Amino acid sequence: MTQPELERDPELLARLPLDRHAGPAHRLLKDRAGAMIERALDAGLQAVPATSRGVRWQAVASAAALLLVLTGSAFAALAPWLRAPQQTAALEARPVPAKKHVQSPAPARVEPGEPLSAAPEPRAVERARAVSSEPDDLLQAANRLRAQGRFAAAADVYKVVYEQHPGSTSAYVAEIARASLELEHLAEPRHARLLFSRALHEQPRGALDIEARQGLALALRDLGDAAAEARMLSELIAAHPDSPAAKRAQARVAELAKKPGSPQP
Amino acid sequence: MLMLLPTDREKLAPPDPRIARAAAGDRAAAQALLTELLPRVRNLVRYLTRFDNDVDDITQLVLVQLVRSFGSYRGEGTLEAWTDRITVRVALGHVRKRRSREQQTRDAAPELRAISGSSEQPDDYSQRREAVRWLDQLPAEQREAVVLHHVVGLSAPELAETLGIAFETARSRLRLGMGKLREQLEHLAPKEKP
Repeated sequence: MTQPELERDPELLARLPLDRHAGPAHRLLKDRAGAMIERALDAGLQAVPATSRGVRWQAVASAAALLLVLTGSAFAALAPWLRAPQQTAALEARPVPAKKHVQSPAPARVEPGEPLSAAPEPRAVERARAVSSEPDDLLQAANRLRAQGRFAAAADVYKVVYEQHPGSTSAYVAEIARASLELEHLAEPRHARLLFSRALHEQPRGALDIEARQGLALALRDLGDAAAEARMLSELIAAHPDSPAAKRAQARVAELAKKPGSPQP
Repeated sequence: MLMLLPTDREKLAPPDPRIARAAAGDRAAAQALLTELLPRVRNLVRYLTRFDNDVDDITQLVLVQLVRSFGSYRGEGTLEAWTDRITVRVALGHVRKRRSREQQTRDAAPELRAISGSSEQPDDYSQRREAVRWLDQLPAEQREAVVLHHVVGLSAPELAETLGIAFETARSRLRLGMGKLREQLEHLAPKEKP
């Protein structure tokens, strides 16, 4: 049986146009539109290695893992990539702030066998394991899967890295990369929150702590927990007051404060 | 995972050279493209979501996805149609995640009513704002079907594919949604005529 085509309603079409003119979305101030675009560029261009500069967020974890693979050395690769030289020096010279991150949720809540994706690809994990058990090789395999858009499989391989090499830098990077996937591509902010929290709990001042805090804040935002999001952003600001991430966090905290009924951070 | 298919209505067009530059990491090119696409993205997001407060949050996610996806644009349709597909995918995913919570915590669109009651003379903007209020009255499933078909222009198979439902279910949602919208149009029509 053939499926009949539906007719579009010209009258309705005329009343619900889709174009670049104002409406039905509320009007947006030019500077706010510019800020949105800048944030998107900061986050989105991070995935383009040739143009990666300084600290950017969201895609940091996956790109960091990619760089690890290319260099074969975890921290040696992480440091210059994650932070511009001047900024790295500034962060290192700055005394550790008295305010530390809040108590994180118990990491044990993420069960080793818990499926964290809607479409797990066990074959991909088996293939990756069969090729090598070296963390860099596994990270490379995960990055390839991610580049192919096979996000669930990539997350599974990152998970293998974390489980097989506990306490290592590779495990730390893989954990945040996996959290990033859960948040951005697998629509699992609850899992992302737990993974980011676990990474922060294990390495509160780790090389990716800015990204972990930002990711955790985004996960909390997706979960609708504005108060916790504001707290996490405030911690990020306190921990890295001179970073570009802090400026974005301040803007978001201000947005949250303006929303009716939103608790003050 | 929602997948939107390229359609015949997307005509071949020479690819904008800025897309390739943006895909290669050219910030200026990406910025120019986003600046052009932003209003359309926001409008489509507003069609798909019931609340003004969510528009910019979702739009931000869409913009990030666009920047990351410029490299996947094959020029097989217009840039706008490609952008619409990404917008729909991101927005529907976001809306579905939040739907249950929103239904529990909100029962109206206060910002919209505040704006529609402003002292501005009726113009295209206010008419569009008024029109989207009709959509706001529909159940979410019917709204999505109506918007994807009548606003985005998806064909029936695309509609079913995008929503992950059977064709008959999609048609039923569309029919119900259209019926309610027409009732509102008929109800409003006498007021609009002098």
